[in-house]
Amino acid sequence: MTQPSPVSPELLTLLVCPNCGSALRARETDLECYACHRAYPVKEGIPSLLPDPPKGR
Amino acid sequence: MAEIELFSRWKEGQSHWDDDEFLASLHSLMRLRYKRLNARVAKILAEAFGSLRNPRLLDIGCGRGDFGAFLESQCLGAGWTYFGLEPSAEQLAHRVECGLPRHLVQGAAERLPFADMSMDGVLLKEMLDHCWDPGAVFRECYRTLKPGGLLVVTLTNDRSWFKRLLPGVNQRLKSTQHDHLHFFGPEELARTVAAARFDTPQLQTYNHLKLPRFLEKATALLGPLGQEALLEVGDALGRVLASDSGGGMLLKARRPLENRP
Repeated sequence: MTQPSPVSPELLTLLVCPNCGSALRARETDLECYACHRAYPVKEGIPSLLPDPPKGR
Repeated sequence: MAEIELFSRWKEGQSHWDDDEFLASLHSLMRLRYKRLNARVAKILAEAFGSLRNPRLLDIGCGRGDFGAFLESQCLGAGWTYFGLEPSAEQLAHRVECGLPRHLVQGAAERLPFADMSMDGVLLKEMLDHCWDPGAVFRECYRTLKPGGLLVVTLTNDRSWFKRLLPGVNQRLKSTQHDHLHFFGPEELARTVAAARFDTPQLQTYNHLKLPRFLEKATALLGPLGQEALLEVGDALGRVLASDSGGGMLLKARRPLENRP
């Protein structure tokens, strides 16, 4: 049986993309942003939602 | 310093941080101060969350999740959900056991990966000076808190009486703290929080007692109760003599119930 989500549903509803602030959808092993489509890996149930480095000025 | 440079120093700093090493470096009086700080923060949260149903606490810079485990050890946190955010994968890999409902997330305080108005309390315990953009951190805390939600900040006081008395010692100490990107005194801290639209922040300092290291170590002879009493007297005197000059700062502020322009 495949696991439906790599994180709990309760957590998923509270998480947003650290780069654009949009909601995320769960895939088999990662979370994908609905808006900007960045993918965030999940390791041992811990999603990695680090932002991109700030742009240099 | 440019944001991009602060960011790269931030990345560098967290990869070197080691909770075990830090805790092992503390002598018994420092350890007691740390425990008292945890107890103070836990008490504030317990009072604030007392009347709430299933409150959510976000501990930013949670390291291995030690504070969640501390809450549990104090029989606090029943009915709460503990969210721990930490940038360091290394710390998260060494997470401690915790019986509370818990979610750990790898992320940065400047760009919180949590929805608007999702948290009842946000805790920034001894971490703000490691952030690359403290102003952004408070704006994110504000966004993530529910209206009326509580922000709790604890931080080393860069304007404590002994740092002002011995600026050379303070400078030497700072030169070894490569992972500290900012330093705050009470005024700056309260100003930075207020700039993020929080209600009037309440700030107090504690840990007024400070002795030369060999004397601090020697207080072990007093035993834990004696050391506790010593710190207690130090704080009582400090509050009267120089209330803003303790070694640590503790700030509470709330997101206003209604949005203001």
